[in-house]
Amino acid sequence: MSQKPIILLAEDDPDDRLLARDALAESGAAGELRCVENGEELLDYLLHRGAHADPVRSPRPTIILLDLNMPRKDGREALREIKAEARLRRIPVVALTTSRNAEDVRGAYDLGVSSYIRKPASFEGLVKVMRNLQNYWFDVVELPAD
Amino acid sequence: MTAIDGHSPLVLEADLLAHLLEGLSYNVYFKDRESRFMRVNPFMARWLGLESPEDAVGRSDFDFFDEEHARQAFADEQAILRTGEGIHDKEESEVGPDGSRRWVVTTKLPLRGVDGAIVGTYGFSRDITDSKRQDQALVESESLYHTLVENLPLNVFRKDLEGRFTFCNRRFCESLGRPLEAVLGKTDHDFFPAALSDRFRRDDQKVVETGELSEGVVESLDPEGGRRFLHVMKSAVRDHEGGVAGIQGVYLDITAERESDLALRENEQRYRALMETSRVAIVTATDEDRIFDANPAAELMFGYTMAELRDARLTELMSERFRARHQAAFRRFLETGQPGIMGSTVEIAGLRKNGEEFPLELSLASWRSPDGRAWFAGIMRDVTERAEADQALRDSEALYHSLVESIPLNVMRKDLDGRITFANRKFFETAGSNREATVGKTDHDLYPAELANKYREDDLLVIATGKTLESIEAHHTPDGRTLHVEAFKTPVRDADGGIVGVQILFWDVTARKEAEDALKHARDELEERVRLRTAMLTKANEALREGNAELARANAELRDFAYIASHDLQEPLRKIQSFSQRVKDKFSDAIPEQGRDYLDRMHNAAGRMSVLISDLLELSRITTKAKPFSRVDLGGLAREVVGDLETRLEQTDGRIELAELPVIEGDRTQLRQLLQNLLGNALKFRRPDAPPVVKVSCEVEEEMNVCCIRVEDNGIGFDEKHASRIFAVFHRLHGRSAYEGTGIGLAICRKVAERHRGEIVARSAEGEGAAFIVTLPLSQAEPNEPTGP
Repeated sequence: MSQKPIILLAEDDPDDRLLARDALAESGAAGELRCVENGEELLDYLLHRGAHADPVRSPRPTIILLDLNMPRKDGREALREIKAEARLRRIPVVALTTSRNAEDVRGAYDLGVSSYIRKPASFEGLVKVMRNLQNYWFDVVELPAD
Repeated sequence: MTAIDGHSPLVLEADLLAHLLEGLSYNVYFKDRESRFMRVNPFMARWLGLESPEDAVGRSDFDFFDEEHARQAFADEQAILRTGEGIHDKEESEVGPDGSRRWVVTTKLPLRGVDGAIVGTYGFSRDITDSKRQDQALVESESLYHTLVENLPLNVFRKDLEGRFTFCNRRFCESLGRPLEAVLGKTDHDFFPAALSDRFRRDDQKVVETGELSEGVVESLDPEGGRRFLHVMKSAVRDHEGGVAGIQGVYLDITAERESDLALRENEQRYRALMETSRVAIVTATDEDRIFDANPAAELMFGYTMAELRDARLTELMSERFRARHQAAFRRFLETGQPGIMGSTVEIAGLRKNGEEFPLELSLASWRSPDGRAWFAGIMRDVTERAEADQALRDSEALYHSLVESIPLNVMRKDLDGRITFANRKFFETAGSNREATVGKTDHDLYPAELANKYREDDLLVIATGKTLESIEAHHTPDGRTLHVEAFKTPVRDADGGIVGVQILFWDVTARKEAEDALKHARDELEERVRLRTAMLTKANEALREGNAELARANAELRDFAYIASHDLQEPLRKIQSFSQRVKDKFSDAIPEQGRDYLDRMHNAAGRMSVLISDLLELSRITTKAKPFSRVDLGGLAREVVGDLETRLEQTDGRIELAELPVIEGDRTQLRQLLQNLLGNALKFRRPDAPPVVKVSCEVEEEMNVCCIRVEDNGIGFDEKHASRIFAVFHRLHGRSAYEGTGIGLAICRKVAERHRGEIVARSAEGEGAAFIVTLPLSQAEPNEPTGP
C-alpha cells in the first residue's frame, strides 16, 4: 500500500482529469491521485468490484473529489449510495463541479458532501484548489482511522 | 275509719250518706217489707210530685203511679224479699203523678239489717224518657222509610264505602232481575259491564269525597242489554257521628220519555237541517194557503225576506196565470182528499218579488196533522239554467252543423257497425259523391278492400279504447297521384257516455307533407354540415392541443438550452482558457513574443464568450426562472442596489439621488436586476471629465394603476435615433475598448418591464446625459403570465 494519502477523482472529462493531475503535481503533491470515469466505476472502486476487485490496487481513498454531472451513474446518485453504505460513509466527499446552480449546491450538501467547490476557470485556480484541499484534509483535520 | 277534724267516724258516715242522697240526680229510695217508702231522697220526692222527702214516708207506689206499674213493682220487690236477689237496670214504664208516661231504668236490691236479715228493699232509678222517646221515633221513622222506599216508583239503593250494596228496594232488585239476597254485598261490577260500573263507581266516589248531592241522567243497561236512561240522584249516607259511611242512590227510569223526546227532537233537527241547507226552496203552508215556514233558499229564490214570506200565500209565488189552477187544486184536495196534483212535479212560471217571472219546477206535497188540519209543502227549483241549457243545446247543434258544413275539412260519422251516418259537404266534394250514395254505406262499399279493412281496424280501436286516433296516411288516387291525409278519429258518445260510433275528421296535407319533407331534407343537410364543421373543429382542437404540446416541448427545450449553455458550452471555453494558460506558463520560453500575444487574445476571447453565455442565460431566465408576483418595496430595493454599487461610486466620486419609490406588485429578483442594470449603466457611461450624478425619481398615478420611474444621468448620452435599438440583444453603441459589456443589460431591462406588463423607453441627446423611463403597474390585476418564452 502506498504511503501517500489517496485522492480519488470521479470525473468523466479526460481534459479535466489531465488538468487535475497537472494541478496536483504543480501543487507539490502530498497525495496520490486515482481517477474513475463515472459513478458506477466509483462504486466499483470503493466496494472492490469488477476491475477494482483487488483492494491493494484500488486502496481506500482518504478523500473523494466528485463531479456531479457524469454519464451512467451521475455524482448525485453515487453520493447517495456512498452515504447509505456504512463502510464508506465516513470518507469525505468534496463536490468539484462547473455548476453554480444554487439548487445543486443545496442538494449536494443535503446528500452529505463535506465541501462544494466550483471548478476554477483558470489552471492557477485549480492548482490553488488542489493545494488547499490537501492542506486541509491531510494536515488540518483529523479523520477517523479506518 | 279515721277521725276527721275531731268528729267520730259514725257521725261522719251518716253525714256523708245524707249529703250523697241530698245531691244525687237519681231517684233513691228505701222501702219496708210491705213496699212502703221509708225514706226517699229530695230528687225522688220531686219525681213523686212531693215538696219534701218526709211526705213520702209510709206511702207506696200505688199512691203515686198507675196501678199496672205499681203492681209490677210490688211483685218485683216481694220477689226480692223472698229470694234475696236484686233486679238490675230494668226498664220500666210508668204513668207519673202528673199523668204523663215516663220511662226509667231501675235497680232494686234487698235491704238487710245488722243481723243480715232482709228488712226491706232499696233502689235507685234514672229517667230515660227522652232517649226512650227518640228510640221510639227512630223505629217509627225507619218503618216509614221502608214503607216509602218500597212503594215509591223509584229505584233506591245504598252502598258502603267499598261500593257494596247494603240495601236496595224491591224495584231495584226487579230492575236487576235478582232477589235482594243476591244483590246485598255485591258491587256494580257484578251486574254491569266494566266501563259502566267504573263510571258508577266514580260518581259514587265523588259523592263520598265532596259530600254533595249528585244528580244527572246516565245511560245504563238492563239485564237484556237494552239501553236505559236513568235520572239518578246520589247523596252521602252519614253515620251518627256525621262521617260518610256510604252513598244512597235514587233513580227514576226515564227511558220512555227520553226516547220519545229524542225522536221528536231528532225529527225537528232533521227538518231544520233540511230547510236550512237545501238548495231548493221549501215552503210549507196551511190549509188556508198561508205560508207557515220557508227556508233561506226560498228567500233567495223569490227575493222576499222571511217575514214577508210568512205573510204571503203559497200561490203568490207563482205567476198569476197559474194561481187559480193551484188554488182550485188545494180546495179539491181539502174537500175530496183526492191528491190531484199533489205529489207530482210540474213546471210553471215562478214570480219573484220584483215581478220577474222565471221557469220554476214545483213539487207539491200535502198531509194532515194529528189535529186534522191540512198542510201543504211546495218544493221548488229555479230551472232557468236548465231551460237555458236546452236552448244552448239547440243552438250548439245548429252551430255544429253550420260549422261542419262550412269547414274545409272532411267530416263523417259512422255507427258501431261501420255504416256511415253522416258526411259533410266537403266530404262529398272530395269524394265526388253525394248523400244518397254515401249514408248507410260502409267503407267496403267505397274503398278498395285493403284500405277499407285498415279503416275498419282503426275504427274498432277507437271504439274499444275510447281514445282519439291520430294518423297521417298516404292515399293513392285513381289518377295516380299520392295524397297525404291527416285524420282524427274520435269516439261519438251518447248522453250516457256510451260509445255509439266514430267521428272522422280528415284533410289533405299533401302540400304540408311535401313542405315538411323538404324541411327535413334541409335539416338533414344542415346536420351533415354541422357534423362536418364539428369534425373540422375537433381536428383544429387536436391541432391546437398538438401546438400546445409543441410549445411545452419548446419551453422544455429552452430550459435544456439554458442548462446546456451554463454547463456544456462553458466547459470547452474553460478548457481553452486553461490550456492556453498552460501553454503560456509551461512553454513561454519556447514561444516568440507574437505567439504569446496570440495566446493572450485567445484567452481573452474565451473569457468574453464565457461572459456572453452567462448574460444570455440571465436573459432566458427572465421567463424560465420567473417567480410569482408579490409586494415589492422599490425604495428598499433601490437602496440595496446603491449599496452594491458603493465601490464604484467611491472610485468615480459619483452619487445616486433616490426619490421616494412606491411598493408595487412584482418579481423582486427581476426588479432588482432591472434597477441594477439601469443604475450600473448610468454609472458606466459617464463622461470622463465629470463625476457621475444619477437621479432616480418617480411619479405615481393611483387611478391609472401605474408608476413612472425615471433614471437620469449626466453621462455621455446617445443619439435618440438609436433609442429603440439599444434594447435589442447584443446591441452596443460603443466599442468594447471604450465601455465593456455584452449588450444584454438593457435587453434584460426591457424583458423584465414587459413581463410586468410595463414598458421602458430611453430619452437622450448626444453628450447631454440619458434618461430611462420605466412604467410599471402598481398591482397586477390579472394573474401573472405563465412561464414561457
